[in-house]
Amino acid sequence: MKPVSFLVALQFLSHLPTPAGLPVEGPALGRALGWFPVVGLLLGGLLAAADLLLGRALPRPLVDVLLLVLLALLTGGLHLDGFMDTCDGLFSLRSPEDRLAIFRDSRVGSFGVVGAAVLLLTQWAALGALPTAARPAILLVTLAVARWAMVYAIVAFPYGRPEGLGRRFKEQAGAGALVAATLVAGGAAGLLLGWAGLAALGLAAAATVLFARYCLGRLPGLTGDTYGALDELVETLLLVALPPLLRALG
Amino acid sequence: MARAEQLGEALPYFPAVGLSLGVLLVALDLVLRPLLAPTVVDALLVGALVVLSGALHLDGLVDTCDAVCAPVTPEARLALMRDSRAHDAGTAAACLLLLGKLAALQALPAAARWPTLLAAPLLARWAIVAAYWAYPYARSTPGASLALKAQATTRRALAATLFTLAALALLLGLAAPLVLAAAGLTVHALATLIRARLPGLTGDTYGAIAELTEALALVLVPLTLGGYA
Repeated sequence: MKPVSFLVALQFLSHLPTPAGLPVEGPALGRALGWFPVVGLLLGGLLAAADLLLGRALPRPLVDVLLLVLLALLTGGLHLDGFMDTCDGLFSLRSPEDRLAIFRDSRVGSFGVVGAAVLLLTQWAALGALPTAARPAILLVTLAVARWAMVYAIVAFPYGRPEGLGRRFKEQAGAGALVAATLVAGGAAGLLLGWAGLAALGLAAAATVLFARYCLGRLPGLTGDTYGALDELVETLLLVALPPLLRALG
Repeated sequence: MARAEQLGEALPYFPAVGLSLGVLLVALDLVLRPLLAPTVVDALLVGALVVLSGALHLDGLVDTCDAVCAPVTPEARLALMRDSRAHDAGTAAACLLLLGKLAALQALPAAARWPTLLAAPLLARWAIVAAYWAYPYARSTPGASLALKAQATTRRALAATLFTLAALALLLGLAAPLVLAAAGLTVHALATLIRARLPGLTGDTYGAIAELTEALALVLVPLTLGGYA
């Protein structure tokens, strides 16, 4: 796991500044996959810091909206975009090929709008229900494990297009990247949240399998958009599930 | 319908329109609060702000976010703004803005509630006048915005500003200049961001500036009136 691979991962997963000239294809992408959860930890750390800072002046519900805005800005709305396109493609009653074409359409249909509204509303409500003391740890683990879920999906399930950014990752993705990502995500989750963190990783794995199977029933394979959708879904799932998991196992 | 060359005469009255919307919000609040749960009232007020403006400014926010975030040339972005359909960035922005306004209303301390409901729409419409006056316009096609830009004289912008400052002074006391300055900074920051990606402002971007200034005011006013308990 070379540190430069972290920057490669960062350039794909965030709008944070990265040095120019980083590789955008080839084996470097495979190595970057191992660093996906580390990018999640960085984004989670930034959110946790903003949470502490904003929380001094503003009430909780307002801070929670600002955290969602900040995350959308930090990621360039990448995963949210994928989630909306996935809603439009998967919920339309079309052939798998037409669905792939819908993914490529940058316009948002009704399913995408409804999906985004429900997703953001759920994330907001879930943030509001987080136990105060565990908020920073939950933010870190949630974002790290959601990015781990993308690695799992990329490595373990077939890709649906002849080309595309997702294809470039898929071609370089090996079991080694998944092992590295799992060690990082599992280690961070276990250290920060104990058994509840490890249970969250298991939950994310189950969600990834279910979501990937659902997609594969409707598409020739996964795509970059569905990876983004998975990230958003796992984030939402963990924000909802971690408080009860912590009560039961913490 | 006013003729194009008379549109500019309306500019000094934009903040007064905003204040009138604020009065309607306070009236709604008065009527609804005894009848409904507080969260429901807040949601209805957010909806009222959208409906009362004909969703004009919200539409501008969606189109502006779509255009600004599109990985294309500034000219292609201008064309994109003419596209009435929403893209990902605009959709997410609209959701987050409405959620933000709801959260801001929910969090309002009782003492700051009415001054905030009055000041936020006022500042949003002042922001539109300020943006017309201060920054270049991107399109040359005839339309309401081009006419307004051509007639956004310093005199008219000043009249709008004085009205806004006077109304704010009544609502917020000594904090008025501070809040107006913060709104001005917001307008400048947003206009700078937009101009980095577009040849100039357009009707849609005035709407985006109005919406974001309004949302900011919903937080800023309570902060200057003693903060959140």
